[in-house]
This record gives sequence, C-alpha cells and structure tokens, in this order.
Amino acid sequence: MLEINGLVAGYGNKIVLRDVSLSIEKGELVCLLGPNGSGKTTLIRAIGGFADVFKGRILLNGKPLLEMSFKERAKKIAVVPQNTYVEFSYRAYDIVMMGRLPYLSRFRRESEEDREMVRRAMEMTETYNLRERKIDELSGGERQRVIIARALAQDPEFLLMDEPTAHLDINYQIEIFSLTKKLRKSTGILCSIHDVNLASEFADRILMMRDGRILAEGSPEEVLTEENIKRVFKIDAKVSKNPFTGRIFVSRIPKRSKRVEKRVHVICGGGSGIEIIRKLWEEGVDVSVGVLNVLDSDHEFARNLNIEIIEEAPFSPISRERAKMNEEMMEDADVIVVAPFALGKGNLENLKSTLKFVGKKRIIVMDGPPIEERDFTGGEGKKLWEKIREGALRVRGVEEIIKILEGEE
Amino acid sequence: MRKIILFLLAILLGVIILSLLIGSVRIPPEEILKVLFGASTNDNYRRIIVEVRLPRILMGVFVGASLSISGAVVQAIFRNPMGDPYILGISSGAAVGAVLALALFPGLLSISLFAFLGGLLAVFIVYEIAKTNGRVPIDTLLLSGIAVGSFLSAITSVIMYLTGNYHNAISWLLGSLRNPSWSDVTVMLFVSLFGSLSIYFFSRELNAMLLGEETAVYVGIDPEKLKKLIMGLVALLTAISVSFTGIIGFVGLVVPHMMRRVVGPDHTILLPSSLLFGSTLMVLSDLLARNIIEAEIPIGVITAMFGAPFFIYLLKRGRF
Repeated sequence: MLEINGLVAGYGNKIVLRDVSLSIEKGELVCLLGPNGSGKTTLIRAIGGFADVFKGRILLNGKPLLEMSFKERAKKIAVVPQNTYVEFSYRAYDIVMMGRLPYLSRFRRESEEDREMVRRAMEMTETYNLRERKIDELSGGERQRVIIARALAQDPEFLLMDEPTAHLDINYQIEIFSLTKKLRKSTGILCSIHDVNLASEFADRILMMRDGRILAEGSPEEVLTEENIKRVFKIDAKVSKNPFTGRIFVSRIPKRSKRVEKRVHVICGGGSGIEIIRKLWEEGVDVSVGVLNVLDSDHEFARNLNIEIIEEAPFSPISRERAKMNEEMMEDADVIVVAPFALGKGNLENLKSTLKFVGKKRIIVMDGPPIEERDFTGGEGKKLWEKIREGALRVRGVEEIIKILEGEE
Repeated sequence: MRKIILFLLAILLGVIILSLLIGSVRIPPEEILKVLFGASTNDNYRRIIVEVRLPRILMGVFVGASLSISGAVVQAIFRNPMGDPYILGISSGAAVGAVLALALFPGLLSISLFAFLGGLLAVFIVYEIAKTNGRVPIDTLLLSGIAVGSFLSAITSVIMYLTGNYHNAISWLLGSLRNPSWSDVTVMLFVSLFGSLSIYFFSRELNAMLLGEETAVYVGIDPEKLKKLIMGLVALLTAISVSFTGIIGFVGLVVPHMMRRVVGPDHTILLPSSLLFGSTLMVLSDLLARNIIEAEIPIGVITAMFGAPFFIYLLKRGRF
C-alpha cells in the first residue's frame, strides 16, 4: 500500500502541494482530476522523487519512501512523465532496458533476466515488434507505449502516470487506458488525467484536486457530481449516464451571456433545433420550444438546458390540448423561429399553429434541406410551410437570427 | 557496433605510424622498425623516435582522448549540443594560471601546475555560483560557465598587458603538443586512463540523463550526484590536458557530434568511439601542425581551422 500523509511539496522554495493525504492499494486504478496548476503533476513527481518534499510522510508498505535511495525507490515505483518526447535516436529496446537500471550492476552486462523482463514489458504494451525502431521515429501512441514498457520493466509495485493520454488521438487514449486496466492486476496505478469522462470510465477511484489540495475522493459516482465539478473546474456541468458504458458521463453546459433580452419560441424536431436553441440560449435569449415529443433529440437537448418545453408523449401525434399551449407560448414570444424540421402527420399541428400568427408576430424561417425532401405528408405540409414562409423572414443560419434579434432592439 | 571500434582503432594505428614516419628529419621506415624493436644502431634516429616523435604522438593520443570523451559527456549532462569541456570555465581558468606562472615563475613545470590549478579552481567557482538550493540547474551552470569564462579571459588579458609577455602567452594559449617528456606522457596516460574508464562505467546513467533529469530520477539515478561526479572527472581530464598542451579547441565539441551521427547516442559505444576518433584527429592535426610549413603552427589553430568549418557544415545539415 502507498500511503501519503500531510504532504507539502513543491520546487525550491515554491509550495505547490498543501497538505495532501491519500492511499492507494495494489490492484487499484486511481485517477487524479483537476484543472491545470492544481498540483497533479507535482504530486506524481513528489512520490517519484523529482519534486521537493517539505513536510509529510510517504509510506510504501509501511516503510518511509523518502529515506530510500533513488535506486531502491525506482525498484518499487515507476513513473511515466508527462512529456515523453525523446530527441535522441535510441532504439525502442534500449529505452525499455533503461527501466532495468535500478537492478543493473555498474560493472556487469544485462543478464538473461533483464532481457526477459524487457521482453515481457514490451509484449504487454504490444511494442516488442517495434524494438529495433528508433524512438524519435515512432508515432505519439507508439512512443507512449514504449515509455510505459520502460516503467513496467522496472517491475514496480506502483505505477504513476502523468497525463498519459495528453496529445493522443481518441483511439490511442482508449488504447492506453485499456492497457492500464490490464496492468492494474499486478500494480497499483495513480494516473492524472484531463478528461473527466475517461476517468469516469476507467477509474476505480477518483481524487479531485484544486490549488494543491484534494477536494473530493471516492468512486466516480460519488465524486463526479455537478457541485464537485463546479467547485473544482469552475464550470457548469450536467451529469448523466453514458448510454454505452453505463458510467457517469459529464457534459459541459455552455456559458450563457445576457446579451439579447428577447423571448423566442422555436418550432423544431428531430435535432433540427439543437443549433438554434444552443446559440439563442448562449446569447441570453429566453427560449421556449414546442411541441416536441418526449425522447425527440431536440427535446433531450432543450431539457438539459432547462428550457421551457411544450411536450407530447413519445411518438404520439400532437394533441389539440398541447397545440393550444403551444399557441399560448407563441403569443408570449417576441419572435417565432421555424427550424427546418421533417414534416409528418404527427407534427403538422405545429405548422398550423404557426400559420395563425402570420402577420401578427415576427416569424423567422430557417432554410434547410428542400421542403420536398422533408415533407412526408403528401403535400399538405409543403403547402402550410410555403404559406408561412411568405409571411416570414428567411434566414440561412443561426447567426442571421441573432442579428435580426439584435436589430429589433 | 564492435566493428566500428576496431575500424577506428585501425585508423588510429595508421595515423600513429604515419606520424612516426613523417617529420623534419627523414628516417627510413625500416630504421623506425629497428628502433621500435630495440635493434637500432643509429643513435640519432633512436633519439628522434624515442625522445621526440613517440612521446609527442602519445601525448596527442591521450589529450585527444581526454578532450573528446569529456566533450561527449558534457553534451550529455547539459543536453546541449553546444557542450564542450571548456564550457565549465576550465580553459579560461587554466589560461589565467598559465600567464600568471609565465609572469611570476617561468618554467614548464610551474606553467603546467598553475594551469592545472587554475582550471580546477574555475570549475569550482562556476559550480558554486550555479548551485541553488543544493541543486545545480543545467541552464544556470551553462550561463555561470560563460560569465566566469569571460571574466577570467579579461584577467588573462590584463596580466598579459601588464607584463607585456605576449609572445609566450599567446603561443601557450593557442596550444601545442610541444615536446613532452616521458614523465609527462606517463602522468597523462594514467590520468586519462583513470578518467575515461571511470566515465565509461557511467555510460548507462548518461544514456538515461540524455532523456532529461526527470526520467533519470525515475530510473533510479541521483542526477545531482552524477553531475557532480562527472563534472569532477571532466575537470580533471580537461585541466590536465590543458596544463600540458594549452587550449586546443574544437576537438571536444566536434568529435562527439561526428561520432553521434555514426554510432548513435548510446554511450557504451559513443564514448569509446569518440575517444578513439579524438585521438586520431589530435595526432593527425599535430602531424599537419608540424609539417605544413617550415615552422610549427600551433595545433589549436589547426583544429579550429578545420573544426569550425566542419561544425558549420553539421549545422547546415540539420539536427545534431
């Protein structure tokens, strides 16, 4: 077990970590989350021996780590630093063999056991086929795996990784974390990471840091709450479940300004309104939508932003009652926006309601795919839409809607 | 890779033989062989070979080896292609020592001794200035080396100006293998052997240091200890070289670069290759210095004249 108690650490005379305590068991994958400058890197460096420890204790299986020699420490703890770029053209194999340095005697060559450890580490990270390649000629993902192999060649009890997926493409990110999950069998892993959702997907436990302290600790479900994310990252977030993994999924809620003070009602459906709603909402417009079926993608989106919605049961045609409520919303609005949504028997009511306001309210119709392609009512929808269009302003994008709203003031 | 070492060794032997053959006095090759196997009857030939050419060649071998291996490890420790054994202020310190000795107690022994002590003192000062919080940051070390170097150069100029002893001072500063005694050669042999072997045993650590101090720490190296130790050895090797031969530039800078291109960055190969090629270059340069014109040209002039354009060529070819 790796135990840290009241750690104060930094560089020279600069304190970065203030009173950090934590513990990691073998076989556990713990993720460190926090904004830039929160102390994640310094924590990893302090355990690895590269940052200065001013106060506190680090115990490895009950033994004080800070009293061990550099060599002894490197046999127990391996670190994959944040920057793994190597500017000299060593063979990948030689880089991994450096992981055996703590075990090698100065006056002796590498033993069979060393070569075996290197081979195993490279096979585990699927880099053995790269062993003769030059490290500075490998891709970012390949290089990262070689550096992880070097850490494994140290045969460590604990593996610390500092943002192992930074600068990697999404497929490499997943690859590295799947590997990490595999490695967890033999080691305890502490891994700092930027991406909240990757942490949620792979971590057994999450530590959230800010300003050199740990603010929250626990399982992803316990730690990744909207309050914690607000406290640590200073952003508004929505916590839900990732439909594919069942893990906590955090979405950033866009920032809202209070620029355009207007009421706008949006007629949309099937995702045609997302861009419009988001942009209007960001600009501070008081947005409402309707009528939308529950489970419609526009409905989901609007609900997440806490926007007022006139909603109808899933997959049901719009009832007269809902249409009436929708018309009341239109009545209250300064402007009605019609998104380029697909017309079916079920949602024709929306156009009929809108038509009632032609000439009474400002109506904006947004262009999209030709009406023929999205009319599934056998021409009735097209007729309605064309009538509305005649009495409306036509725009091509959301930016134009904002301009019109601004111009009205 | 072993092949390249044998190849470099063969070239070195070739250059040594060439140097034994060529000189102001023409000696037939068979006479040289006789002298070497102790079968010569010509006392004159014997004296030229044994007392003049051979010690001078060996001095070149050991000094070339010491400067090149020093350059290679300084570049590794600094992780800077500008690394050069003189960057620690050794040459400027040695220069002050030498001109001081020239002014106060002229004599070859005192000049060497003063140069040696001056060189070591300069490294010590550079190191102490760079030290902050028990660490020696590489950038600070580099800058303090440059600053102390400039200051000491100014002192050298002042001493030269005050004593007016330009000719001797400048000829010392430009470097020459001179005509070393066998005892000089013996001292140089033991120091360079000790220094080079000690450095060689740190090849693996140096490899890791090239990846940066952070990585070095994580694979179990104490970088401060390693830097101190390596710098001590470099100071010893360089100061002793300079004290015997003056300031011979560019060998320590260029040789490791050339070898890194040929054998790669692995120090277990790079160090012996640099050592052998540095020796070769030094003996060859001395051969040119002795024979291009009637009088001897300072060897430092030769190495700089050939080294600088080559360095520019390397620069233009891209990365080191």
